[in-house]
Amino acid sequence: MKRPLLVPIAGFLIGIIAAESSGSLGLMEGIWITILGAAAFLIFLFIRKNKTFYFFLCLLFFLLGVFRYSSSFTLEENGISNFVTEAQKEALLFGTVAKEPERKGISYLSRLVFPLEVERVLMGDREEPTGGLIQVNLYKPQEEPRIGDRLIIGGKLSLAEGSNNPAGFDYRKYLRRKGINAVLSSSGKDYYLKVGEKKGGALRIRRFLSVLRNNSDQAIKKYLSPGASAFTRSVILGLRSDISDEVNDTFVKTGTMHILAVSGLHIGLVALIIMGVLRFVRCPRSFGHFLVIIGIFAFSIFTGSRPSSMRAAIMGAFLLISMLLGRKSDIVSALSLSAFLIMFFYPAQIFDGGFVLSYMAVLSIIYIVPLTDTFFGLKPPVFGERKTLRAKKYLAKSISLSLAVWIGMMPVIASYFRIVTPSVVLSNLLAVPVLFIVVILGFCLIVTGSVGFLAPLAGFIADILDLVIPFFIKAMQLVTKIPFSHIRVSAPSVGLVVFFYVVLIISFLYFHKNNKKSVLLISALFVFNLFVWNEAAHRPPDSTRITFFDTGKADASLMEFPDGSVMLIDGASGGMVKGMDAGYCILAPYLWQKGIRRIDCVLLTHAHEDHIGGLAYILKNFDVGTFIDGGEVEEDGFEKRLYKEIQRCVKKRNIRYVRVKRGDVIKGFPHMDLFVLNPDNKSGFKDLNNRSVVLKAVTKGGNSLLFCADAEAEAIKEMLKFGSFLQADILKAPHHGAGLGDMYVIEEFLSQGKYPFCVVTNYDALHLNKELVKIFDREKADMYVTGEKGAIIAQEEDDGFKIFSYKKTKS
Amino acid sequence: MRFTIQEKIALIILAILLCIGSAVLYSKEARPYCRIIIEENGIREEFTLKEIEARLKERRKIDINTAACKEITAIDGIGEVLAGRIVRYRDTHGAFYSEKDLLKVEGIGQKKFEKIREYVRF
Repeated sequence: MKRPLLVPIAGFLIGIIAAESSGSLGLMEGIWITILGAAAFLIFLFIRKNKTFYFFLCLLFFLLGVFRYSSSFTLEENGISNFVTEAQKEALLFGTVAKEPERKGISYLSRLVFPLEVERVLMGDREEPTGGLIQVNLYKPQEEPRIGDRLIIGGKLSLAEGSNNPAGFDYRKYLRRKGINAVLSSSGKDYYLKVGEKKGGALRIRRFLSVLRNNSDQAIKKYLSPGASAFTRSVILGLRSDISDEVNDTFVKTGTMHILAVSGLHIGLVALIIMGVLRFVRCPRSFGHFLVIIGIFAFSIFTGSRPSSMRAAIMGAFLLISMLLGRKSDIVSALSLSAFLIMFFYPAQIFDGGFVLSYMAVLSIIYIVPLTDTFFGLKPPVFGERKTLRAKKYLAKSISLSLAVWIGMMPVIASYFRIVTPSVVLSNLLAVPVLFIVVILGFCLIVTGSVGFLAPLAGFIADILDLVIPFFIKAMQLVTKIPFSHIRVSAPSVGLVVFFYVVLIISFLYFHKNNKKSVLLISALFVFNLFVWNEAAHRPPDSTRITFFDTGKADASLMEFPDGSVMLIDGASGGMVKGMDAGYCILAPYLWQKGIRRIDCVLLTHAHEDHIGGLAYILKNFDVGTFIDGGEVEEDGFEKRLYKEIQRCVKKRNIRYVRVKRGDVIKGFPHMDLFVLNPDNKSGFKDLNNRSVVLKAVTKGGNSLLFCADAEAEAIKEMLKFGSFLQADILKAPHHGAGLGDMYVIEEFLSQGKYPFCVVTNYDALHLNKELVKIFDREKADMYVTGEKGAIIAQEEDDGFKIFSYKKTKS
Repeated sequence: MRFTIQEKIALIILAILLCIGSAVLYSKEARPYCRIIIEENGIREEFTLKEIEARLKERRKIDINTAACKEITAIDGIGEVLAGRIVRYRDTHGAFYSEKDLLKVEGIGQKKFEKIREYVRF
């Protein structure tokens, strides 16, 4: 048998997958996947000798995988997970800082983030020993912790945010896969005391590398322009905080995210550079390999010990060790051994996006490149060829490589990023050489910038980088403008992804036997069909569906109609900080997941940040037919800037602009009419809230909703004129259920309306106006707070609306 | 490349399927937007502002039989002492059934009564 190790390792992998599937998808799915895996392996074994031995070895490792996975989730006795709930609770923790803190976020969200290995916890009046890893978010720190510090730190402890919205990112699962079970939110005002430091040689090395990193950061920031500095910091130091949203989006759309984040490619380049330097100084091979291993691990720690770079370092180390030992370096064995190592210590990691992407990329290079090479008829270069022919071959090989990686990674990238980027074939051709240049020049800059007398040389290098990097980013932006350079898709189901790879594997095996190019063409066509039909199969809902998203204390409501038309009311908050833009994080993923790329109408109730923030991203990334608002904006502040940006977008993209006022009726949707109850130009209210657009939406089936935006008592008093018209089946509570003014007006409003269901967009019931809650109680209205129940979904049925909450609340 | 007949058939079928799928997708993307029309004056007003103010005034009235001492002091003209007496009267003599009962409280004469009657509900 060529690679005996593969059998048990594959068994282990399938065991983990089976254990996870039976936990999350259901026992049936788990059984199916197990059967499939077993069947695949039986077929595989059929063509090998010693079947029985390998079959039982495989089965053994399969059970080990299941066991290892389950045991990793068993709550350790007194582990920190036993002390956390969804609600935040005050706690004091004693533990050791596990990694060098990183700065994330901007303005009021700026914080230091680091994992803490906890040993003791004090909660309420219980003080107990405990264990486990938590993530600490330290706002406005008085002191900056270092790796290895032993601290007593206080703050609010809770579970991380799970997924509150359909298609929303599950941060809680993401952290748990890294072994982190809780999040502590601490500020400078909370208790903080450093009581010592952990000793150890490893710690000193990590501390040293982190000091080196900070000094390098200073040098980069000093010499380079902001754009170039942001890019270089991210690529060489793993510090991505300065990269703007637009640049980040550009890289996502051109499929070149692996350039921005420190990944296997960077580790590989660093290894090549070190090997080149060592060869130049005529270092003996074995010793050289050893130095390279040290070098790539040092680089991985230097850039923040990210899982992706650690994985690549482990992979590379295994390869180099096998070369050192004189064995024929088999990449696949090195790969599987490194994977097994990670699987054994962190079984949940195999579901992490980064893990899957890393291994799929390498597997694509190993297995698919021969296919694409043969398809293009590429032969290896011959000695003595004309330079131009060599260059052409080099170009063709690069395209072939890029294409192979794109095909191999397509389903995985579609799964995690909901995008397919054909342009990556083109953009990689430019991106990889540029990365090589930036890494080399970047390190040179750091070295020359730190040594005083080499400063002029540093300046020269900085000038080159200042030229190359902005040019590169501009080129990438140009690529995104090419039609079909990127296509937004819904995340394919697990079954579809598996099927895709099965087809790929079958065509690979068949090709090896018969060496026919036609097989490749047929499988390529087959696979494209899979994707196209998966997208074409999206259907609008059978009946009108309204989704009230959970965006904290902000509004975003989406209406999907059976004829395929779509309307969005408000875009929640965002735009200021990456990762907080509701348009980017919550609305866009949901829309793409449902196959919605066009929005017939976007309505802005009023230009306050918690309603307008996410709209810029939506207007730029979706085709919108009409934009409606009340036409008002506050005169000062950044909200006016946001509003102007939206106006510019509306003009540039030829979106029809309509202004509405009290008494107007918005018609055109086959299944719904919307009546505008506010604002009235004659009212003259000072507060923009009272000039919000208030809508009563009435379906053709006779069911209705009242969207109150942020209207307060003054505006509501005027709306009382409409009497019984204010009645509706669902009320979207005014102003997030917070302060409203004259409570008698609100009482009158609620007793007139008699709303059976009420949706409140706020963090939780504690944030609501207490009097308002009392009134709701009295009027016996059912309140749903999005912060507690997650997104609220109303589906129209024959006898009215059926209301679901996305999160099933557990106590 | 030379294809066998089976391969040619497979390729043609797949290519046709791909075209149909792409056409379906394209038709979704090219679907025209809903034509939004705005109709003016589409909502009828049921009440006048005056009627609403009257209703609100009725709501603001304090129920003299169930209000706590603190709430009664909210009425312009009734201080803590008087409010306390009203509550004590209520506790000993039972509910106020009509306006005349209020006059029985020590400190509430005709003048005071006229002042507070519009804020009080029985």
